[in-house]
Amino acid sequence: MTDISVRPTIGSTAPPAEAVRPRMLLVGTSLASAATFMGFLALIGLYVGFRQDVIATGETWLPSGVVIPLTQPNMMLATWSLASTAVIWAIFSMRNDDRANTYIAIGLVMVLGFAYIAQTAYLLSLMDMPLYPTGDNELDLLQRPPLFYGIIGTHVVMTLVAMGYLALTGLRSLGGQYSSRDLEGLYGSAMFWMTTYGAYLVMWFAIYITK
Amino acid sequence: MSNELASTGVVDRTLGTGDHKTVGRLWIFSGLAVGVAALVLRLLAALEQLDAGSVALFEDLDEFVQVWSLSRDLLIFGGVAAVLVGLGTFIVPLQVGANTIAFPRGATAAFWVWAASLLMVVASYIGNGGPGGGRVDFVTLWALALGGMLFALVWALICIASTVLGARAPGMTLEMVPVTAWSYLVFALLGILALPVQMAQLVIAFLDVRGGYMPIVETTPLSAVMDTITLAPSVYWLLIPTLGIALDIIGVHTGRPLRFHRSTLVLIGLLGLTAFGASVTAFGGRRGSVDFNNAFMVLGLLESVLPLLGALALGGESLRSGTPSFRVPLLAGLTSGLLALGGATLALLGAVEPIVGFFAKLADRTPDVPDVLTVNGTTFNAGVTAAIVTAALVGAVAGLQHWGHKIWGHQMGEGGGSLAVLALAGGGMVWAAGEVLGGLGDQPALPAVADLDANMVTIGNILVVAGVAAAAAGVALALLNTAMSGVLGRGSVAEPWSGRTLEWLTDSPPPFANFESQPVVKSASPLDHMDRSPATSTPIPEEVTA
Repeated sequence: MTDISVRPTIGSTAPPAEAVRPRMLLVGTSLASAATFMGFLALIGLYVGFRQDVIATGETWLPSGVVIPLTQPNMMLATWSLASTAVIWAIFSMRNDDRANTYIAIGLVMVLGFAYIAQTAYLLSLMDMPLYPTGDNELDLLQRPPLFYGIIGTHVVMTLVAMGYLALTGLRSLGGQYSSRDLEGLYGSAMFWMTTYGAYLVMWFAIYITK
Repeated sequence: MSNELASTGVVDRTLGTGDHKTVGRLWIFSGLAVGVAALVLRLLAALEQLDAGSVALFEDLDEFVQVWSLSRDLLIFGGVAAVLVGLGTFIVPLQVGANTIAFPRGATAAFWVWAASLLMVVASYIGNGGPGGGRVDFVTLWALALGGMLFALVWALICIASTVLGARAPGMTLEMVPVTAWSYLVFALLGILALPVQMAQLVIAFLDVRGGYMPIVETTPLSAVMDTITLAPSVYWLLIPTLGIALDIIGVHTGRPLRFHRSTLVLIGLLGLTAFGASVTAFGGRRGSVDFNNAFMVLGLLESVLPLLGALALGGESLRSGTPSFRVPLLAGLTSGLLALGGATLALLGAVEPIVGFFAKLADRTPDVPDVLTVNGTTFNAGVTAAIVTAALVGAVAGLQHWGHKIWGHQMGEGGGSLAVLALAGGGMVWAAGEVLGGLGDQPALPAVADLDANMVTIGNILVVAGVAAAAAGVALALLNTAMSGVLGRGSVAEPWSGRTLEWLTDSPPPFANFESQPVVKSASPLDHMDRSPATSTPIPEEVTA
């Protein structure tokens, strides 16, 4: 029997290799996705609560002169839907060991991800919402535009992480780590991508639609 | 090879480790040290409160608020949670028969992120930040750094939960998972879902202060940001692993594993579910119908007592039918369970007011609650938290005494352990009693030097000082005892007791990859099916070698 208790010479501070177990990465990603989604939902919950407080006073939630247009959020929703379809395309391609289609699909997701970020920047420039209170009146302090930016910024960060994760698993697929026999990495990145998509759906309805 | 091994220094092995056992030890040591510091700060705040109506020790009221909130945040997220996470990082992989924790580098990174964030939290207060702080940069640094600590805890919990869910030994179904590992799974899932909500509130605090929406001269209310998880019943989150540890200890030290293993798992799960429900409700309670949320909170409080009672009754059955060896771990485990039950029951007193209010609303009548029971918004709630936090700390010390030999390779001193438990449990009870008494005397919950001269409040404040001092001494003793075994190598090397779960199959401390070969599990007491040698070096029986 091999004595595996002996500390290896190279990388002596390295952890022992984990036993090969199925779905470990998927389990970890699921838990991380759940944590991220809860945090995002909490932000939206607080936003809705603050908005309700202001509306209850008879005032408008958005600062005067600020309008949230619908075209851009709807286009972003379409972008997300397309990108998510492309993620599924990547997985199905890899299941069939069709690497060419996998890379095209992942590349498309990346392009659409960047498109979403560009659209968000464009939307924010259209809205031109002040970041700091414009006056000393109480309503200015209640409307909290930074909260709006905070939620959108959080989602952009989530998108960047999802893109990075997908790019990483894509590169590892390119290196041969993932194939039709082992799709765990792609499943994991797809799960986080879908979580981010779900977060956008919540944001789209709670912020862009109901304003 | 041995020469090259010798060149690997202690610092290198510690800082760059990927071994869950070293990471677990780091968490435990740091958590105990931070716990002592937090309680010393709390003692300073308690001394200030002795002289109601004036500020003597601190410069002003804001400074008092800063010390008070720093002590609370450090105690819960830097002390108790860290020690519990450390124990879990060390023990859970061993209990489920894994050769390492899931995502070992991630577990290491989580510890260092936590440690760096902890230092930044302290730095933010030094720079006049935190709740009650007077400088925007340092108040926002506080929000960021505390968020970093929570993020690191979530990260560490993901590693622990993934280990239980995905790295169990062959044959170990979820219902065969040992009680401690199961309680850690529930603890981790709850933390993963609840702590991000706290982080979101910190994001709001950051944005409000940074954007100028919360004037810098009015940051005291920020101390309430963490109330969602530091008050009952959300704080029961900390009881979940404590309960698992206590039940595991009872099983080992009575020689009689818990008879109803599955029922125990269900009860621990129920406690987790309740704590989570309460956590979400407390969050929603900021916005929704007060009566509706109060009703949910009451339900949460009631539901928490029942699983606790049930689980302790199952432990009692083992005590009755087994042959208990009343040594430090068992006594500490039992004390922890009873303290937890006491704290949860105490919380029910605070629920009288919302219960009466709810039914009065249903009957369209004015609620008629005796003055003595209108304790919400007073230090009464802090008393409940004190009881629960003490229960968790005593449970952690019980775990350290129980697995001390496994963790350090030396049995932890029984004398030091007994003193630590005695001081901690006694101090915790006196502390909780003092806060409750202050609450009954109408002392406000938000730290404030109010103009109070009621005898009840004065006596309560004196009790808080005495209790916190004793609790601080208890944690310091536990730290000293741990250092004696862990650093100085004092204590017996012979394995003091043995259980029926997989951690007892391997050496103390376990080798690099935990087990010489992969164990195969056939029941919830896997070692019952294995031929064990009682010596420190445990050969793995052939029947379990893969």
